[in-house]
Amino acid sequence: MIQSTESNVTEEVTEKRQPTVRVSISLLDSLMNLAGELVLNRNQLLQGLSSANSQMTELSGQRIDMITSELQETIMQTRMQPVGDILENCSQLAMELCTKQRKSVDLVVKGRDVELDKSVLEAVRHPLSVFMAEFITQWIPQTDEDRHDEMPSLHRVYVEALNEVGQVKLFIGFDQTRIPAGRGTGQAVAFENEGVFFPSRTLDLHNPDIKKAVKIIEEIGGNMEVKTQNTGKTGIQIKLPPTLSIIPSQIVESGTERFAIPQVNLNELVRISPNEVDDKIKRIGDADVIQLRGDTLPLVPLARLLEIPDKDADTPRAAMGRHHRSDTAVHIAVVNSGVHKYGLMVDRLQDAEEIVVKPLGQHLKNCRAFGGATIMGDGRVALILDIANIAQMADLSSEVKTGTVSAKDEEMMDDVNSTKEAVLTFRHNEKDHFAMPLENVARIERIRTQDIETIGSNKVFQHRSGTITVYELSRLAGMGPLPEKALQEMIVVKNGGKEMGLLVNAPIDSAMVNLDCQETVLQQDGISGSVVINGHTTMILEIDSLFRLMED
Amino acid sequence: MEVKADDPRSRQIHIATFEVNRSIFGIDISHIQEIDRKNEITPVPQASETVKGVMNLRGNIVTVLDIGKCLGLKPDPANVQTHQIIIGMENEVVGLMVSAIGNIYTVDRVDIEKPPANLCSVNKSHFSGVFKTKDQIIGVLDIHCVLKNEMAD
Repeated sequence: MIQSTESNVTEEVTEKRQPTVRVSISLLDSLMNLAGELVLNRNQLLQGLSSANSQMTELSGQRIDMITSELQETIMQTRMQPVGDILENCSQLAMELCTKQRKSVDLVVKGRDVELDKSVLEAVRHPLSVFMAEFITQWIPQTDEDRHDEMPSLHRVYVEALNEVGQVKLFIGFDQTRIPAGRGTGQAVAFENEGVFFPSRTLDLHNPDIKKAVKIIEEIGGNMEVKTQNTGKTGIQIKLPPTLSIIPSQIVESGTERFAIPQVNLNELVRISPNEVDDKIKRIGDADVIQLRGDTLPLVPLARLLEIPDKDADTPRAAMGRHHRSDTAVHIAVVNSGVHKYGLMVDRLQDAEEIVVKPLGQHLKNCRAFGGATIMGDGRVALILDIANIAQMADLSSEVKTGTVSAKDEEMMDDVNSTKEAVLTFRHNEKDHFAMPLENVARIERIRTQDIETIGSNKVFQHRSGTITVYELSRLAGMGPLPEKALQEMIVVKNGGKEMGLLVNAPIDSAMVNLDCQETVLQQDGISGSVVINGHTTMILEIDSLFRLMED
Repeated sequence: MEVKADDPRSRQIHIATFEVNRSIFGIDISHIQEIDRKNEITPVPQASETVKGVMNLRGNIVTVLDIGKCLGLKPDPANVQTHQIIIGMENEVVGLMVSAIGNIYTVDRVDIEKPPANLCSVNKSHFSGVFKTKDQIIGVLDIHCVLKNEMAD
């Protein structure tokens, strides 16, 4: 461990990471009081329990609840310290370095009173100064003495701390848009200068100091990156998660497991009742979106994203567009990662709970979807969702489109995307799986079977915008009849200017397949061949000949 | 926190054996923090397949690995894994799922031989040696090496 090594740098780190906190006496006094109250109430609770006095038990239970919350809050206060001190240190170091290296900077320090847990604060002190030194030395050019009298090339350097949705961000950077004037007129020259001014925008990870600093940041559960902000500031950003702390969170269920969503990431909870599902949840391409008070939000199905097996094995959710199951309500946690706002589709919503964040072990560092774990009331472990990373993962999977491709196959993705085509998959009856090109799908509707009228030999359906003819795939050779149901899924297929309704069975989903590799065994009128999708031999509809066949 | 396993001064070491997927392995007992059973394991989606999940060990979150998979053994569904061996690593503890706990053998250091070149189907670098009991030969795992191999980059 670090304590055992004796080099200068690590010694400093060890000293800084020693777990002592300076606490004001008044805070300690109130802690003492609370502890006293807790003991008193415990005695009352025990008395109540032994005498089976339910009223007394209930009362002391309530009081213990209150005291515990207060105790917890007070204890947290003892650990929280403003970052001002380390920002100050950091800017002092910057000024010293600038004088030494003959660089002139204008230092802007912001967010001194942002608070961090003491242990996080102390751990981040050393890495921050390492980054600062690197930043000044490598990124800031020397003052150009020749031009000095014309116009001082003053670089504005920012050292900032800010609270952002449950995380504290530390930022060392400069304003890229403020490339000093006097170097030329207009943007073009400024742009040209860029290469000269800022030769290095990467961190040299082979530098042992930096390597160590990055490691410390990671050890305390943070991450760092070189980043250009929306405001044009470029620099080193360190994100520190709320480790070692107690956070309010929302518990949700997916499959058989529970997950915690930090309350800071949570905007609202939405339950969409079965009969509203089709109305509120729409599918654009293969992405589900939800209409929420005029906003359109992307939906991320948690179970599908994380490949969580469903509770009831009969309805493998991973394979179906969940909103086509109109028999159950859809539960959505609307979450905000700071960058993305999206709806996280979960199986059930539970209570809000205060949880203690605990880090995950080193064998799970690859599981980016989780920010940590917590222990629930029943002693089981629940994982804490990392909302920002889930947003990233969801974007990624929407490009790949099939849930079976994992992040590991990322390199292959470009390759795959170039040859694959998006298809809509559905079933005719239990055993016959079909797919058709997504580009031929106008929309998917669920209609009542009794609304289908029979005129002559044709079946038609009255629609808002007119009448469309409805067909079934039972017209194809060898297909059995469509099972009769009160509600029927209908794909509105378009081809050129024409539209027709195709009655099909759920689950309706989408997939990426390579249509060039079709087997031709099952080829017939209306079917161009077959491919295997999710383990099922799936017949590919050929839309041109299908239209001809149906209209015969 | 941990006893140096290779302390040259001690001539004897204690080796605990366990069974997984019908194979028997040994671990230097000084690496073992405790042995548990019946802890509830929470699976972690997207984790590598050697990770069984996480569990609550008196308030600490402990990653539990399927040691059979770590060693590349063929899975044996009939062989239910019921016990967790808790191993103390440098800065965390890790649980290993095993089917049964065997004996503890006291072995002279000199009696531990180098692992044979063709050590079953199992990766040779995982072993620090083999020793003989009355009726069988047991491979001693270099457990820290095994666990480090499984770590995410």
